[in-house]
Amino acid sequence: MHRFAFSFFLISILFACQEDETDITYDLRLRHKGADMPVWVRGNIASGKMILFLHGGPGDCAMCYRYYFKDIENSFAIAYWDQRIAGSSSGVTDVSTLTYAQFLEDTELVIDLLKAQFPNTELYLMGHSFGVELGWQYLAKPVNQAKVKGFIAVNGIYSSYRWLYNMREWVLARADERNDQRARNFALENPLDPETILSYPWLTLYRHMYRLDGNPVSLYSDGRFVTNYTFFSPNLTFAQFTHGKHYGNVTETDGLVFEKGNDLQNITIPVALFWGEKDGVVPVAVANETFGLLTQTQPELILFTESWHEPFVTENKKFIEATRLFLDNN
Amino acid sequence: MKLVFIGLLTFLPALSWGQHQIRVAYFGETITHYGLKGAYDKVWKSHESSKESGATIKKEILWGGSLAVFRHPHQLVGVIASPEISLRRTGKRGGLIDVAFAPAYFRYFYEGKTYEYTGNEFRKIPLAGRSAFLPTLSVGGGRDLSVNKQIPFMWYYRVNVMRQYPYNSSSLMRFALEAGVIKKF
Repeated sequence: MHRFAFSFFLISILFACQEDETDITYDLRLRHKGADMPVWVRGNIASGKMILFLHGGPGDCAMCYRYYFKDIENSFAIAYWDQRIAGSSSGVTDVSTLTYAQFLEDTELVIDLLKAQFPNTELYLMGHSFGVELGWQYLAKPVNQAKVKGFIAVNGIYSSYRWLYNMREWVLARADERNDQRARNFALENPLDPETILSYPWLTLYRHMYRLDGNPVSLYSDGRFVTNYTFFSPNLTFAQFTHGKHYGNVTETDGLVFEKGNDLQNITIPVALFWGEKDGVVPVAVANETFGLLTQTQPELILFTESWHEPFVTENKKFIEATRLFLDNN
Repeated sequence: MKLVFIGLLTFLPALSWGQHQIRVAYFGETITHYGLKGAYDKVWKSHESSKESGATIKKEILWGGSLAVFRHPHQLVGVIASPEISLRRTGKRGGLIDVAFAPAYFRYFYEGKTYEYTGNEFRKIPLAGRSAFLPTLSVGGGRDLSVNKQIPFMWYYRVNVMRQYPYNSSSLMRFALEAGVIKKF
């Protein structure tokens, strides 16, 4: 037993001495309204182009996905920002600050901080899932559009109602395909009405969607990802698992009345929609609607046919190439 | 104030004579976030029992204080100061098992630059960080080399399970591996 413990200790020391993968160029942190939010900047600053990654959730993490974005860093810089009470964000933060208005204020400050720190660098936004909502919120203000060069939206929504509408359609279609009466009956018995959306049992619909393989990808089934995340990254190992319980209120209120359909028609900066085509969380129908609403720019729609909600995980090379192309061309 | 109070508790055992020990160890928060720990322990109560075979089993209650410093690269540098109470059993061949509790004070400093928005500009905060309460439960083992080999050292390891209060709106679980040597005086 003691021999085993001693060997374990020696192996740990060796790992500790190993060069880690967190050789970040700049470690920044924004303290605002109780939250100490890390903004790790990595990659090729000399390119003059930087991507600010707006992670999903709410309550997901940014730096944890670096594992999948590393190859982009050869070409451009990436800023990984963990939002308040998310990822490795720290501090003493009141749950009442978890509102869409506060998330927008934080986004604006993070972008202003990056602009102040890197005045000669062009900034692009890349939002994933909830991060896309942040992106649309930010760009809805014309003054903000002048601060960023482009936006890559990855499997995210512009309208809560259209999201749930399309998810319900997805569940009905998949339930028919798989002859799943339980899911089919639930969707049929619960039609969606924009007037009563706040009381819609969306979580049950969401669970049916998951059961129908709307997003079967789990990052935690990748041992190398887990090892890197736990031992060799700046992430706080267990932080990710403490946050979930705090988001009940914001997802049941702001999260169900989010609507930026009209604002999309005022966006003039370059936009690319990267979409996992098999996604049930935010079905591809939402991408097509978003594409149609972006009338003042020429959006690109890149479909990842073998992917669900995280195309950067399942079709990593294609995702990186598409990102490079978008930044090179814009 | 908290630091002064815990500091006093930490060094209180040094004020009295009797059998005491010094511990020095590698302290790895999440194993790989490397650091060092130093501690001072005093035997408060000790009980020895002999078996029919002549073997001696020693049970002790120790109390003392410790100071650990670790670095989580690109995240923070942490300092943990704490009084500790340990229960230790030393077997007939010197094998150790111990359990400890430490109501620790945790002070951490963020790596990199921290900024705060003042309303019209970003102000850099020097030595930005936070303080927290970090109750810790440890379980470990080791060997007392003085039992069979007449070497006045022990080697030991501990797994520390810690809970940081506050962390955002609740608390944060942490764990650490501690391994090193104990010198008895």
